[in-house]
Amino acid sequence: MTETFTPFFHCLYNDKVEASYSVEGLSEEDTSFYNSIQTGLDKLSKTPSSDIIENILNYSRSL
Amino acid sequence: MKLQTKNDQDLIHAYISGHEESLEELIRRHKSKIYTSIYLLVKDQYLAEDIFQDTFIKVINTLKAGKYNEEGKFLPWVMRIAHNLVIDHFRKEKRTPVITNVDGFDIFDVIKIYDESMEERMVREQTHKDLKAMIQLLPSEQKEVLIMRHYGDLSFKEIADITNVSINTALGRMRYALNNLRKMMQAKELVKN
Repeated sequence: MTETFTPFFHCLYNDKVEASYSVEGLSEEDTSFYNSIQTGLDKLSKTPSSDIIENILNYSRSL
Repeated sequence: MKLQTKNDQDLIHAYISGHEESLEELIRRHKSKIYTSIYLLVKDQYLAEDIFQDTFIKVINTLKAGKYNEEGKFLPWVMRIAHNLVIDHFRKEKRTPVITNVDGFDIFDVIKIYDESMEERMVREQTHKDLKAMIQLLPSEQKEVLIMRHYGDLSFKEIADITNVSINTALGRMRYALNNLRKMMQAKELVKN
């Protein structure tokens, strides 16, 4: 069986193994690959600035 | 009861009843999923923040008008609003939220040869940048499913509903997205070696 991902990306995979889970409808290979990149994907998460949150809350209070 | 222990529906009811702090908790709970989904599609912080704000203004207006459909879950509903606003934006801009060179990105940036003397931290940082760049290289419909599945934590049924396709189509797009990412990673590794 051929290797499904590359050693270069091992740094994305290592700390996510324990959090791996089955994704409904995906093959075992796809699920395995998806689980392996989850840490990398998680690290791309962003949050909006606090000013934006405050704008939204102020709008709501103004109604 | 503490706000953090309430589920979304309870918070919505409390908000509609006039408890403004419930909205703050809902935003705190879901802001990263919603904002990241928007940001990865539009690739611009300020535009993403504008769309995020407009999304919640629509949410607020709908809730305060008593028009919220209780049958649906809160997050998929908000994600649908955000998704529609992103589509509206690209329609106005008359361009698509995809793939190549929109922001000067080049495929050769992904597969360029690295200096092997780089320190591990730099490699890791670059790797995360590469993953982000690879996601941006995906066709829009594949990127959309991957983002909604991962960052929006939506089921394929919910994604299918939002994007007006069948569950099988949504699932197929996810498979293609993963397959393309895997190929890009392999291509990069081949060039590196």
